[in-house]
Amino acid sequence: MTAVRVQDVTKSFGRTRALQGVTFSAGVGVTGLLGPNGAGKTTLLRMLATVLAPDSGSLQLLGRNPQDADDRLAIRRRLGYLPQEPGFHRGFSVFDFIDYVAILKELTDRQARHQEVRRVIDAVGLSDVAGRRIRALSGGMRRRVGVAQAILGEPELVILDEPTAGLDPEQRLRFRDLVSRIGEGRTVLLSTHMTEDVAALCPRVVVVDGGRTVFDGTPSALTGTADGRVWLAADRSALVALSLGSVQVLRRGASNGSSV
Amino acid sequence: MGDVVTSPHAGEPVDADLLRATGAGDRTAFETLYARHAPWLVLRLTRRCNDPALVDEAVQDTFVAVWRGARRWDGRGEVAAWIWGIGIRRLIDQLRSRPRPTAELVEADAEREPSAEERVLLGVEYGDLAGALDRLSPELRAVVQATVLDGLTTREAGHLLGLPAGTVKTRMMRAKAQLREALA
Amino acid sequence: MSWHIDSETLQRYATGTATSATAASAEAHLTGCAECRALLAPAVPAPRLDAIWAEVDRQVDLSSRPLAERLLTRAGVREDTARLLAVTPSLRGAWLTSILLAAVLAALAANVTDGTGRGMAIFLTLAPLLPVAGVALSYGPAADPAYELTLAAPYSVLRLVLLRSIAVVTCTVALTAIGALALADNGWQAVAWLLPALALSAATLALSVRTTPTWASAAVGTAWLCIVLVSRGSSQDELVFGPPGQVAALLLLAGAVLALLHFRSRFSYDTRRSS
Repeated sequence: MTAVRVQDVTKSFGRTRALQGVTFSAGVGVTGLLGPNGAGKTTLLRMLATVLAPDSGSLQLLGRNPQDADDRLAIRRRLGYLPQEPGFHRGFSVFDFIDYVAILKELTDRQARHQEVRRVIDAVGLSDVAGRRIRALSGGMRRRVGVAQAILGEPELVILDEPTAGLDPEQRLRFRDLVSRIGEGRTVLLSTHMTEDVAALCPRVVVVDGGRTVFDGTPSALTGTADGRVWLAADRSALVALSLGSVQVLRRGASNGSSV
Repeated sequence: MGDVVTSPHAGEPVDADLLRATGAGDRTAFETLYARHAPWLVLRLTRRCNDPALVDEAVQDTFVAVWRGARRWDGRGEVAAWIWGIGIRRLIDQLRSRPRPTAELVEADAEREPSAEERVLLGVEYGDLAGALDRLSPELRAVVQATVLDGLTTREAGHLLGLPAGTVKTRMMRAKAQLREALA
Repeated sequence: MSWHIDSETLQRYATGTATSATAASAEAHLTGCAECRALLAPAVPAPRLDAIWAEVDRQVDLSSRPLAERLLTRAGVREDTARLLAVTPSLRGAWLTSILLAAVLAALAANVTDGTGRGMAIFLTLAPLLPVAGVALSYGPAADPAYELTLAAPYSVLRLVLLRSIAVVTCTVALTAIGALALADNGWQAVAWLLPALALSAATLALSVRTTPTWASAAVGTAWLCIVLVSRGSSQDELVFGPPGQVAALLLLAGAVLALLHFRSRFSYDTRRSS
């Protein structure tokens, strides 16, 4: 079953049109969502995490319709989500916080819940600091706390919004390792504006710009180099230029597009 | 409990380290400590009180107290001895809060002649004293065990055995007199 | 430790059939020998040890919880529910203390009457706003750092919102009532704030279906102040605090509850207007 099916989804906030018709689908494995800031990646991911409802278009997650209340509950039971700016309660330790989220995920039995919390803390390699306050941890470790709560309860669909932002290269390497392990047998969607993340990690990439999908395919479609950039033919309306560390979407004929 | 190690092999933390880690808030170390010490504590307390429910509660209270007081351990002596000191007093608390006579002192089925192996053990640990101890009456022996071996005060021994402190004192004196005679 | 107890004696000790002296010796040895202690471990059935451990674990857990959570559990609230409640900012000690202080000060100020009944009016105006402020701080993006996660999780958002706001309103009203004890004039006026307090809190909750709790409480608070000021200006404050006002408050309360029930499914989405 294809876990994610998005069809012509639009979303506006006041007068800003964040999404103008996004269409793609994603199945098992890691799919990267690539695009410059403001492209609408976060809005899209929030919809996939059932936090936001689309204005129009259809959305199918894990075979269900998130607009329906019962289906939405069923989706949330098999979903894991790491928001772009995860917040932590003051004074919570790593264990406390993940335990808190585990309660939100309806793990009511204390013994079983604690076992599961310890399992995910182990899986992200934070066992040594489980009792430490999150406030006292580095950015990379906090990200790992975020990933840990996202894999509680072995979800089928995992949404990670900019999980590598602010990490140094070494941390990012370890992170990619973690994410590819999670992606085995699960559908993982992660958004980033770093092309190396995509190249190293995602068998599939969807490029979003200006609220639209402008490319959907494999990173191996990257061919050739010119002017230090790699050109990637997209659909007729835009070319996507990927160079190391930045994404630029160019309109055919124009030389300035939105860029990171 | 899973497969927690119950005794240290080479390279594994000793009890002192585990206790220190427990004091620092390490729950895994605490669980290991429990796995190592709960069994013998249950057995040893069962020899003082044959009501398993009371023993269970005492063991439970003991380890909660271990968690809370781990930081206050002075680092000297055996961890097991420290735990025993807490455990026996928690058992006494349990006995004091229940009406007697549900808890009675356990006596061996029969005071038989010790086997050859037991004689070796007795020789190693207590020498001549062991034989003299065996020849005391059960009441006197219980008092000696409580005060000398378990390290309780006269009053605590009284609570454990259900006797007034005065009786404990007199029995101690009689026991000492008999032992002195036997060892002379 | 090179000398150990032989297995037969150990067995006798474990089954309680060793002589007293043997047992005493064994115990003395066990105090210092980890290997022999380990050999004793199988003598106690695992289910018994597990049961004791489960209780120890539970108590250790409980003892490391913050005060608010321990009080809630003591009061009979389920442990996981208590955990969800205890993080509410408006159930924290600092906030509740401020509420109590505000209520007491307002009550004392009311006693300093200058004959126009202004003091009392201040108290009656302020008291209903206290739970409204509490509700604003009980959930939502401003009050809950894990707001996004809460939305994406299966736990019913409505249930969480109701639990938290009802707890907050209950505590706030209780503290305000304590503060009201400082009122010198204990007539019907001393409780005239109660229904408006409940009505305004419910209205805030109902409005936060459409917008964040912060905006909802601001709207409700402002509306209330306008009503009071207008009626004060026209010397009609009997209208607001007297029987007509109480009836109106009751109707508002009923209406807000109905609206809340009708629109409850909206809670499970983000209520912010902009992203």
